[in-house]
Amino acid sequence: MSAVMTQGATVRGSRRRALGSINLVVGGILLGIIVLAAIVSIFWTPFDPADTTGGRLADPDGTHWAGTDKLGRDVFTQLLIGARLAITVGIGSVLIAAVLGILIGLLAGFSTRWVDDALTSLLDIAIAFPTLLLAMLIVAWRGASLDSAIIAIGLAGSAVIARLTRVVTQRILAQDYVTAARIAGTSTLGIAREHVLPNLWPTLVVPAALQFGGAVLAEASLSYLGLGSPPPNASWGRLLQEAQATVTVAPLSAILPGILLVITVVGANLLADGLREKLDPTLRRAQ
Amino acid sequence: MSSTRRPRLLVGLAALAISAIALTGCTSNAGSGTSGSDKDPINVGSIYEPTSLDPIKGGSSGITEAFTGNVYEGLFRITDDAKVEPLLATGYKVSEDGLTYTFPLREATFHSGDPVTAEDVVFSLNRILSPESLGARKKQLSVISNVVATDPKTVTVTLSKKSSSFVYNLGYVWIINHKAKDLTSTEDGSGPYTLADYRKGSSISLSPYTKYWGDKPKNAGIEFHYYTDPTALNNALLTGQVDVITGLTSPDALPQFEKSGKFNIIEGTSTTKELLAFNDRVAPFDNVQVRKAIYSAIDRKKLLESIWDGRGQLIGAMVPPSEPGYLDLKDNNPYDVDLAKKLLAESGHADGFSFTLDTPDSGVHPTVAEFIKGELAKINIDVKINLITDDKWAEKVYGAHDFQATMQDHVNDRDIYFYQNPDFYWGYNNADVQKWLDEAEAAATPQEQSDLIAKANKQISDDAASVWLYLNPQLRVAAKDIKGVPVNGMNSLFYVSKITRG
Amino acid sequence: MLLSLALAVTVLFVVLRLLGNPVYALINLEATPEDIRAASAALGVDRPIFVQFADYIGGLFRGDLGTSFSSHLSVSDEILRRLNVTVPLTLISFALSVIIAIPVGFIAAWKSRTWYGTAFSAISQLGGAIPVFWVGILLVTLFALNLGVLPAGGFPRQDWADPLDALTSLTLPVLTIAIVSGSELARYVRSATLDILDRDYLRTARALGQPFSTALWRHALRNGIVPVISILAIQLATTFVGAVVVENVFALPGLGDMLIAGIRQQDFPNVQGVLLFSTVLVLVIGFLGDVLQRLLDPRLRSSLSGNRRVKASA
Repeated sequence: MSAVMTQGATVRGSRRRALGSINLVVGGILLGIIVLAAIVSIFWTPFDPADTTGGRLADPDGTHWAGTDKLGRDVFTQLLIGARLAITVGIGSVLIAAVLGILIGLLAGFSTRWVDDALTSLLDIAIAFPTLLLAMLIVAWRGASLDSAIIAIGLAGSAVIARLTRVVTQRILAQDYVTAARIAGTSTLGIAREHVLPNLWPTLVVPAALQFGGAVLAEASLSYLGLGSPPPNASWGRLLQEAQATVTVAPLSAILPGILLVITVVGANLLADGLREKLDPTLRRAQ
Repeated sequence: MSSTRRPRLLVGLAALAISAIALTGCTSNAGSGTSGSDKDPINVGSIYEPTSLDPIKGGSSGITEAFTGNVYEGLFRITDDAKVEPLLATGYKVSEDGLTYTFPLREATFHSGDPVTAEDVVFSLNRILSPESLGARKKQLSVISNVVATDPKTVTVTLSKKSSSFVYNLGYVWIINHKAKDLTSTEDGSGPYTLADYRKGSSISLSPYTKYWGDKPKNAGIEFHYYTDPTALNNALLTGQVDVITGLTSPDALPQFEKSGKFNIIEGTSTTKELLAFNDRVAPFDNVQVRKAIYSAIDRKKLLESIWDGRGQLIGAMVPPSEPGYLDLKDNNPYDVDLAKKLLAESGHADGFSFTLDTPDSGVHPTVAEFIKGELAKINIDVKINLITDDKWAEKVYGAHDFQATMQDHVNDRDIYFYQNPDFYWGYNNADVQKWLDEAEAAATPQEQSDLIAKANKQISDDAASVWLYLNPQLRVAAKDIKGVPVNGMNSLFYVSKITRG
Repeated sequence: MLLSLALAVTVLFVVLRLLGNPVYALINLEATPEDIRAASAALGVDRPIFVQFADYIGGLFRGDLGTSFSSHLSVSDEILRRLNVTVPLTLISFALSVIIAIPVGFIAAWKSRTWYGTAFSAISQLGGAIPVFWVGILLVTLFALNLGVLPAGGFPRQDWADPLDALTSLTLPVLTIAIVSGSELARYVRSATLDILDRDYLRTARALGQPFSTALWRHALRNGIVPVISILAIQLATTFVGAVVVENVFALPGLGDMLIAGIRQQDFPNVQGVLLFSTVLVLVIGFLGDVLQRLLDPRLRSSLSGNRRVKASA
């Protein structure tokens, strides 16, 4: 989707630039809070996540800041760990998407017409194939775990990255200096390394940032469908699913993970929007 | 500036559209279920949707709940308090050697109008015993060596060996019209209800069968509504879309029902046992002391408190209080962390060890597994929880015996005989237990049968063949005006013909 | 496109069979190894995979999607019946999200320097970042459990025999999808509007003395609608697919419910059928979006012959 927007944009002006900086700042702060929580959770949590001494569904108080779950475990601790898992899902699946997507995209971009056509139409199908369903298949195969979710979401995201990479690759290959390099005897790999890869990232960084937020949301949905890993190492999506049954008794547990999810995704999306304004080559040309 | 008008108009339109939709919702109201009179069907909510209408082709407890005793009938019926009484058979006669049973049949007709004959009984029994059949009780019924229709209204069954639970097991075998063609989208049984409508994925509705041989149903019909998510099921009852739900899978929603004052909570006994089952064949679980150490390290009382909020019962072996052979063994392996440490040290694992717990990702299993992980950490045992789907469980654990330990709930009544089979997934192999349970099947009197089962039950408990964590409560919730709901959860049976409204 | 669809069918067929033997979804705890073998044979899953595949493809050419492994009902009948829920759910939600998105996105961009423009931007950012199931949970808690004005879930057994009843059941699911999908769409509309507002021709037109509204109407909307159409096509497809989760929250017997149950029960014919059906549908929507876009955009129309994607999909 972001691809279309990037391609559709031609000339942009002052409004965009002004909004861009605001987006970067606000997005950075929101995501920063979550990243901070994630880092803190590595070194410290108020309780051991498996500690069941808190009593069933206790209300929030001085010791258990967000109450306890039905096994008596500290909810605040789980929320902190959830931050770590959310960041892991985001980064992990974006990395998988980037590595795989760039490889496939380069392959399509460098290949002959026939291979390229086949790969392109396969990518169209892959993009049409819903992330969630792919993830469900992988979970059914590998079992429900964070890894399964990351792999599935990464795989699904790679199709978009691949399509963008292919477009950029072909554009660069058509440049005169690349033709010159070819004639001079630079190998295909050399061209990919020296000319294509360095020019990819301005195009890819925005969709990658958008995929971060999308990945966190997708994992939450998977967890909601019961395909994520349960507490004490539960993602926010899973916490929401567990809390749903006790929403009238312990409403806070059904709200806090959702708010954190929204903060994370809004943060990542704003960051992506801001980056788009800063990095869009057409915008720079206009300046 | 004139241009500002357009967006406002659009916003207005959007707001209108939203409120219009919200309004249609408000005026037509949600409660179509409970407000009805006794001419309306009773709406029953359940999370156990039958995978198929024909359990021979593989089924679930769902089809038992919806059809057994309601649409199809057996020769006998198992009552809500676990007794056996004649149904399509008017009784039975056994030969001296206990191997030949004669069943006279009642005058009854199938929903298609054909009479119930001995030929149908022969057909139905052979059907469940056929090689590709996946029907329940097939294994136990395989003691049948021959079924013949001696006359149109009499069936004679010959057994290969004595089976004291044979008649009981017949309570689960549907008698189906042998002329029936399509049993996957229609039915042809002899029960008090006919299948009126079948919507895979959402509902089954039953209408009274006007020519039913016995007591007519007391309601105008039954609609089963199926939900995959327990919360959605609870919400359906809370908002009046269903009148009664067949079972609560967690106590989480109980306060909601209690608070509103509009519901009756019906607590009965179930036969569903939550187990931590070891693979008794493999180290370290081939060692009795290791198994007993783990048993004693788990605080079952606290677990039951956490999962069921104090409902349900603690058990110490496979047989629940409602069945022959029950003994109070809940402290046979007491909760005692020091004892656990001592046993573990004696077994040569003083420093603990680590194992993988294959946990079905359904129901309460993941939560219970986490609890166990926390408990066993106290005796230095590290549990790695491996979540798998129910089907993967069947393939990996049940089919391939490829596991160290697993979680499972055993729903069936009288299922201690699983410990008799050394090829069962947990691989418990004890010659005495096998002998006693064999003798129990051949026992002359119920007392003798019960005593032998009790001996076997004590032995598996002494051996900590598995960890029997607790017996689930059977909790049904019904709107206040609903009467006649079956209380107990005997292997999912749910007889609906006495349920009334008002 | 047909070729890649064929490839997709093949990959799906093979991948599903990696998941395991579906017979294990059907057995009870008394089944012996012999029972399991016999039941596998009855399902036909003991045959070599290419025989099963040839069988399946043969069926596809006859328009036969097979028979469910679990319920033993016809897959295509089942899909058709469930479209009664999923299609209205998707279309109504989509229409509502467009109705929400266009004004919200437009105002967010056009009035970006006013407080309500900023508020609309923020709302669309928020709405697009909420997990759809959570919106569902919150709406159920509010409208069904607390206020008691709308059903918490389910769909009338008689389908559309009583349209009002059916619409009532769909109200909360539709709102849920519309809030999330409308917000996403609003962000695109805002982005597209910002592009147009910054364009030279708009400034030129105003410099030439045309009223702003006329300039906007003549140039901006006509140009702006083009990228939005392709987004709409994608969004319609996303809404269709997103219905999976929402059907789960609201216990609606639609395609998504069939798919999730199918995956859980390893009911391969059902899973294949639903996925094949939705993939074709998504591709068709995308293709129609392309065509519409080209018809509306004179520049694209002239460059039609030079475009490879059209060739590939023709």
